[in-house]
Amino acid sequence: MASLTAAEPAPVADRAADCDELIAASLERVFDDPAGAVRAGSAAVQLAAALAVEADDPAAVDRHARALAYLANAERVAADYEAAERAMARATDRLAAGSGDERLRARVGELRASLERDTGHPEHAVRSLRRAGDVYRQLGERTDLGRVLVQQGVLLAHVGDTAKSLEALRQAFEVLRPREDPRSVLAATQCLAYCLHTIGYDIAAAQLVHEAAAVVERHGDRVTLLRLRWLGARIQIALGHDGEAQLKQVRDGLLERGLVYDAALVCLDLATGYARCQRLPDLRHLAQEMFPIFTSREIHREALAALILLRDTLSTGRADLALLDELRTFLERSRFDRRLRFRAS
Amino acid sequence: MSAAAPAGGLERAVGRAIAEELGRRGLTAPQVERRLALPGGSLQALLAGRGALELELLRRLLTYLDLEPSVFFARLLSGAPDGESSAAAAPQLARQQVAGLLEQVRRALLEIDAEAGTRLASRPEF
Repeated sequence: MASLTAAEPAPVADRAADCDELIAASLERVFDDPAGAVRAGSAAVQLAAALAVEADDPAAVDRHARALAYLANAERVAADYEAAERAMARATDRLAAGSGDERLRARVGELRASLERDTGHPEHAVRSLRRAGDVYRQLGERTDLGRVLVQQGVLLAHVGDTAKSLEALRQAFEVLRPREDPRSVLAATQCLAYCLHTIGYDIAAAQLVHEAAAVVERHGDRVTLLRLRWLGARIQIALGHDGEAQLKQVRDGLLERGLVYDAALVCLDLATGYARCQRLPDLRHLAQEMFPIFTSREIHREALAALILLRDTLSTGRADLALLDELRTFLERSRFDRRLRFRAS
Repeated sequence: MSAAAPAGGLERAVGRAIAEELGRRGLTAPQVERRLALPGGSLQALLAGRGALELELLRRLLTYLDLEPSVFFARLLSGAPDGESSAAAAPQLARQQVAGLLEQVRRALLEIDAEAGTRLASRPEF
């Protein structure tokens, strides 16, 4: 009996625990090491698929769906969108065959929303988030609901729907528990400041950024602080102050951390400032500095074409504010919607 | 200038800007009057553009609202009063939400600040 046991594969519970660990590892690595996250996710999917066949249990099917959804998430971050969409479609199929766990459906819905956002379907992403939020609301999961509402707010702000973004943020602050999810609170704060800036409440936005930056400086991470300072500099410029030095610091900080797309946007803010003051030599110099940033792999083709048009315009010494403004709007929106095409008016 | 006399352009603009700031913070004129021990109705008159603008009152208001005078006037004189022209184009919903939201955010930030921030370093899932 003992030898028979030794020859059998590890107990189902142990392999299920291994699978859960692989899923957790995939999530843990996804931003620092997307390829590693894909590997962990693939291994989790293989294990979960075998367990689902062997166990004939809805919970095992749920685990398979979860593994597929996190694999899709890792593939999304690794920019393999076709693979991500395939994995997410399989995850959806498996969910339908599983236990009907509402919380899992909502979580997969959140991951699907990220994929929809990054593949140019922000309206689908908002819908997926809304459904996930409805589930969390019914289940009384305040922290999850708050996080989803913040994600909605950020997405809506990026596609230019400020009123709906503010409404999502208002709802988020009603349910968020700052001690449980400080990161969502900070994301919501930054988004609110951005919305206020967008609709012209610059004084309030500047105050908010100042207060949030003080908190992040004490407790937060460098990238969050850089993003806040970036927004703060844009608001100061809108208020008629000089934000050049701060923008340059932010650009350098973003580049140090490989956040090239953001750095390109900061360059555009600098260029806009120079153009407003007719600082043409600075504009030409900036155009030369910007090119290596633009040709980075992180800038997708359509955005690159638009940036090259800008570089050529700037190198002639023309300070075309309208073009800068159009390009900035395009770059902000095309980050989440790669179907967008740039057409300068 | 008597209290009944019409206020000048700058006074009206300051009154509007202060009214905006109060609105954003969810404050009413009587509340602020009580807080600053001002004569009843004096702030309301200023906000409505009916009263004379007194520097001491403005200084106390800006201090109370934690507004830098240079920032306040830079915005006022730029030709685009903060929250006036551009916010007018924004949906009414946005205007109504701002005051309450700011209050909620400040409370949340204070709560985070009071807590050790170790969890801020964790990665977002989204």
